[in-house]
Amino acid sequence: MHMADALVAPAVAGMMYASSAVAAAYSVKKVRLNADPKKVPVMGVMGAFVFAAQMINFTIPGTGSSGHLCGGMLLSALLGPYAGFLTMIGVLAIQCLLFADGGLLALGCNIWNMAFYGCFLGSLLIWKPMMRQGMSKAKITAASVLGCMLTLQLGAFSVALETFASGITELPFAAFVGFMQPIHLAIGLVEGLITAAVLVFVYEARPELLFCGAGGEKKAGRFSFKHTMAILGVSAALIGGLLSLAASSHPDGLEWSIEKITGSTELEASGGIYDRAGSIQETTSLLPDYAWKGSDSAAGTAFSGLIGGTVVVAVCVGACYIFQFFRKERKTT
Amino acid sequence: MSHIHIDMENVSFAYEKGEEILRQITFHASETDSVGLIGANGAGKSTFLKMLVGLNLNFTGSIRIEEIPVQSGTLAQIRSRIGYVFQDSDSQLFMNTVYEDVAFAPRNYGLPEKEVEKRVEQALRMTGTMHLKEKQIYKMSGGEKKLISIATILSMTPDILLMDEPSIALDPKNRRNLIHILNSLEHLKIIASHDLDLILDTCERTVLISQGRIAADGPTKEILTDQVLLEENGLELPLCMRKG
Amino acid sequence: MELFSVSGLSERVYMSKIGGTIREIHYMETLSSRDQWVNQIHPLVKFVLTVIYILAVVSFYKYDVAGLAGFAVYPLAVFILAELSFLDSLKRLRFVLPLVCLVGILNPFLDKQEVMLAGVPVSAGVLSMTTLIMKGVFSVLASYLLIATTSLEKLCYALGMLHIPRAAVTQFLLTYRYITVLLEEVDRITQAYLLRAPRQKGIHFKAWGSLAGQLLLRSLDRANEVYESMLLRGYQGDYGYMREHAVPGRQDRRYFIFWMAVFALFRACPVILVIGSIF
Repeated sequence: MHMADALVAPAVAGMMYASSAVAAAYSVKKVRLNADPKKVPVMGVMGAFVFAAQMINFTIPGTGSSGHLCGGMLLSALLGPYAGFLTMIGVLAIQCLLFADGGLLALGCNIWNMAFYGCFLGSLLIWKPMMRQGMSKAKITAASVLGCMLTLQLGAFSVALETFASGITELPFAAFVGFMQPIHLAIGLVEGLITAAVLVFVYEARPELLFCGAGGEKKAGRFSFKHTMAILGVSAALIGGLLSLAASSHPDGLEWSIEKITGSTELEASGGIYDRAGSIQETTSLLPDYAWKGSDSAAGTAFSGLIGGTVVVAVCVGACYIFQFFRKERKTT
Repeated sequence: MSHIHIDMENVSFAYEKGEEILRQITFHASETDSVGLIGANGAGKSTFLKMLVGLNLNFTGSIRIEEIPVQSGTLAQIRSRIGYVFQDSDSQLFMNTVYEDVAFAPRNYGLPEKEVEKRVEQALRMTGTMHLKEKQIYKMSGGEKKLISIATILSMTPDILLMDEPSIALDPKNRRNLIHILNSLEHLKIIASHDLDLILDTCERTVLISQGRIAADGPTKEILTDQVLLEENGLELPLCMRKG
Repeated sequence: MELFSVSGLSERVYMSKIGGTIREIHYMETLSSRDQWVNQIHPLVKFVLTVIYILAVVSFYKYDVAGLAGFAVYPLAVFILAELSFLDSLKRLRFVLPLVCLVGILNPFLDKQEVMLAGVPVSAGVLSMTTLIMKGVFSVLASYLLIATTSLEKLCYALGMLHIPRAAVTQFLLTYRYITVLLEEVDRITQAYLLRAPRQKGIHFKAWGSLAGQLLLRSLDRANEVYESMLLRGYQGDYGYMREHAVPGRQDRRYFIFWMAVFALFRACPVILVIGSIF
């Protein structure tokens, strides 16, 4: 479910970075890393644990395939929503930097899609209220499965939304969502069961380790209606914002659905960012005949593109080797 | 009277809701003593060491390090004088490169970066690991990690060194090298180990702990050759003492 | 030619998928600690350049293949300057490329406006799919070049300069440090499990909880020991010092300005077409 850089437009990436940054700043404030010095090493090592544990293949009974652990839900059950969120950011950043799993620009989206829903919603909306009256194996299992399914559904929806708002795919939004959601329903169920198995094991071995576990109630603070509304409000505002961004900037995607409705292909894309982008393109273009759309010169354009590309590559490679050569000369003399 | 010394009087320790792990321990060491701490699994060796650095605080009796009592208010002072080398080097070495790890302690004590670098180099020289200065921790062998663990402690220039199973998982050559380096360090040392040959090579004095009590305390050569005493307390003669 | 040489991997051989991951971390560390000229450029400069590059790449209009193609100069040049193997970097596309293709594959069928390409009519969707794939490849390559020439600690130093809280940076570095330790542990556990269950492909659901749970408890114990080790070395909850790196020097500034100029030029006009039209 890691988003790639290519799938997000700068505006969407920026917006998601900003949202994730706000959630992270709030978490830093709530966790008060400096007040309890033990949190930093515990979060650091737990991040590594999630990374490593996600490499384990858990066989799904009755099928040939395997599932993995859901990091966000697990961490928030152990460390609470805020510390869990910050830990997940570390994991996602390392996945992105070291393994190119998710991109640098899309990191904000990935943090939101995977860490925010799992840690904030999974913990505050499901885990905490369910565990308030005491824990049991059944409750832990139910909370894990529900939490994972909810967070994966929201995550998948956000992926579709972010891609759509970025104007990347011609696939209509409804089709994309219809494709993403059911798959992630199944994945969520499996991840939830695996996560539940691990949490139940911890509950039986050392229940005090679980967030809101035995004796933890008084410290955990009460889950308030205000908090729920605030989080739901922020999420709703964000989703709404993305949708409107999508609607204004994505005439091409809508066109397809309009075409289906009206049966006409003549409806021209109009308005929105892309028109402006197109006109900027034309005015900044040095070649007046640089036109992408079925003009006579298109063949010529392709030809000059080929030549130009070759020249640019040749110049670039040549310049680099010359530069390298002189650097080494200077070093040796 | 010297200023480097450890004094434990009537110290007992138990974890919450558990039986006593250490009972009525009285122990003194000073100056450049090197003390081997031996005993069967679960005898309380690690607990003993952890009490000295204030990681197990709910003991009864009194522990004083260089006249400073070990209690929650004095931990910073105590810990700047005692270095503790963990059994598992991967827990001891938590930074990513050798330099960063060895520099951790001096930086925490607020030294300027120039001084930090000097301390790092000094510590690496003392452990013969100068060539590893820029290396990544996870690329190193077990022997190298152990030496760097010791260097991370030496960089805070402690008076006292505590070591928990330093020779565990080392091959013979690395173990030999470790013994050589331990002998070159002129600190007050307490080495807890099952490796009795290592104790024989590095410590003049040995304390035998059994079931939470000090069963014997005396010159290493006497204790480690006393077959009856060792076997009564779940240990065996060092390999080099056994006759075909 | 260095561009296509396959550099030697680390000595230790791992057989499994987890082993592959450990090997990849080792390999990236080996690359970033080389004594190359590009490796010496200030981490902040490289980080900011990479972000700007990716931003510029993804901001291209979806049919602008020619304009986007010009942006190949940056990865091309850095691959040569840093003497990195291009082939090695390709496997990093394994996560991104399938995803991008999945999203873009239908474009040619959905966007049927006609475009003449060298006299042959093609659907505009082909162009948008091409740009999408190019964007995916370019952005992955740029990130690869950043991390292959900059160690993660140095990158953290750059993050510190951007006012990321020190505790968060320390936490990040600890995660990085213990990933290899715990991966090796996972490798041992799963190998031991699979050796006794040779016909299983993964972990049977009866062992789900206990296998990962044991590892979890041990990791928490380790976290506790790491904390003790930090405490004993004077840690009081606020550590984030790094070895002093100077602020960007003259060479770093020149490198930055040069690439910014190149990016600006290639973003503003389709250089390839301009040059091509001269001939």
